[in-house]
Amino acid sequence: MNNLLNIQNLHLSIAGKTICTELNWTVKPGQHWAVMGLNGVGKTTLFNTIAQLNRADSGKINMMDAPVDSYEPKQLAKKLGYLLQSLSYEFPQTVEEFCINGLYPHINRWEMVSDKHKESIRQALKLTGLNGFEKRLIHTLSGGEKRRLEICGLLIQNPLIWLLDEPVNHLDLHRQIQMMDILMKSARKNNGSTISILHDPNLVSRYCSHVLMLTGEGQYKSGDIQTLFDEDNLSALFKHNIKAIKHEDKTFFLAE
Amino acid sequence: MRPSVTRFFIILLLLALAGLGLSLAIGSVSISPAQLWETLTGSPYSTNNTDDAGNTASQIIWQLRFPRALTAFLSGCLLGLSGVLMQVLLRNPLADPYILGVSGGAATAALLAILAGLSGFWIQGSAFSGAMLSMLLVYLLSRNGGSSNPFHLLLTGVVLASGWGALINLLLILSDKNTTHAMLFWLMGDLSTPQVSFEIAFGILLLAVITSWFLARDFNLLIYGEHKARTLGSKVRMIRRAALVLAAICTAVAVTMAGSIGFVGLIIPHLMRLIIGSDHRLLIPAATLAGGILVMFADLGARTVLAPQQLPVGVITAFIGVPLFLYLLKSRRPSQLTG
Repeated sequence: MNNLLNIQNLHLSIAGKTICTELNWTVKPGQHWAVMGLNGVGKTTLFNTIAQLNRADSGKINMMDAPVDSYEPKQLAKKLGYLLQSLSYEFPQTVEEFCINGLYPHINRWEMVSDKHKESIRQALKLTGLNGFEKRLIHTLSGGEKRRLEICGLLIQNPLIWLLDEPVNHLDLHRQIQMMDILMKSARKNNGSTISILHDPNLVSRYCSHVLMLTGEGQYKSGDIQTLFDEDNLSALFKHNIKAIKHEDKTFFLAE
Repeated sequence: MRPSVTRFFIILLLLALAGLGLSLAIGSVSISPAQLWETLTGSPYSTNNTDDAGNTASQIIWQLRFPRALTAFLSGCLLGLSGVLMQVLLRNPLADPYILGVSGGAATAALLAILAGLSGFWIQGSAFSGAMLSMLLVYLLSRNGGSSNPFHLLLTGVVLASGWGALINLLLILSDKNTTHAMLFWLMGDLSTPQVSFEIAFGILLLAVITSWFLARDFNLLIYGEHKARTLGSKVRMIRRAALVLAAICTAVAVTMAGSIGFVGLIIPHLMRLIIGSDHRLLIPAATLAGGILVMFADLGARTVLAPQQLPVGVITAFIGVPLFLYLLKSRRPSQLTG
């Protein structure tokens, strides 16, 4: 198995707006991709299409050498995890009940939660700093705590390909670093791969090996960070002047 | 299962039994516990009951009170379950079994039957057909491009329901005084003349509870939205369709049995969420049982509070439900009830 994800000639549009016309993109095990682009350029729609929540106009999406739509939903969920941009909480549920939902693809309908699964829930809660919150109702949590809970759910689902739509939303700086560390480490453990929608170029250069830049009008650039991350590309991407600043052996990017 | 959960279900079962016992014993002719026991343990037309009092008691119990209590219980169960299903399906804590116009369709058809001078079986038959027809309409109208989203479904249903409401008013205005009274009683919930066989109603209830229970883990995902459920591997489209059909059938049977009894399907799911949480594996059986209990007690009140005047059972469910609900709202933080 060489490719976790292989997209060929993908044509995608939403509400008459073109997102990509001829997207060819391959994600290999161990890579950490960032997907970047302006608001409304279609990053989330691309994720939704990969996760089979939307249909593409044309093109092929293969996951581990088989068409992504050939997987049974549960089999797909074991391989492909998706941290949605946000969830809504209409009904009261506890943190613990939410966590058990993360096991859905891994246990049968009538199967009891085993000790092994309980341990994985305990671990995920600990990693996301939510241990002790088990009996709390979700809507009593703060925005950042909810985001950590959603990440916790994904850790319990434990996929191979991690689609992360703005994973650091609502998180304070300390938690941003902590959660990104955990997510990247968890993906690497199974020789998996992460694909993150991120807006902060410095977070991208710290955590990602590759970047897919959606530059609008269906155009894109993809490649490794070293090649693509420079003032010109980023300024064009954000339609805003970006300055590179060297500090010790690292380069940081600032909006002018 | 946690001991507190087991205890809660035992309490529900005891309440159901107590409700049944009281419903059999209390009424215009009161029946002593000893007499009740004797009648219940003997067969309905036992030869031991040769004395007149025993015979009358046996008749009252088996021919009047038992069918009525059972009708109340079963229709309450159906409404409790249907309420849970509708709330998940529409992802809306304010949804109840009637919100999509199922009862409106049933009522319109039933009133038409009453107006046509039909009675008994035909009224109930039209009610059931009306309910199913209404649900089919909602389903067909809300389908857009194969994916039905909860808000589209909700709006379609609410609009249809208000259409039925207008038709009902029109029928009430157009009919004479006697007919209007019969119609109003039907609309507010009438348990005095059960017309659906218990075997059928019970069979449908059992089937619906088991099927919903089978889907309980999917419902646990679905409350976070279609996307979340699908990314975890749930077959959302199939499950939403199943929930709609189950809720429609339960509501249709309940409405056919007992007219529309308000409030049960809205309050019971919330009440149970407050007590045992939102895990549908527990919520489904709990709301089913509790709905039955509430309507059984409400019916007991409906026929005894102002005896010999009988009240519509829907009035009593609201009288019990409104204060209970408001009390719980006040005593718990509102955030625990809704998002």
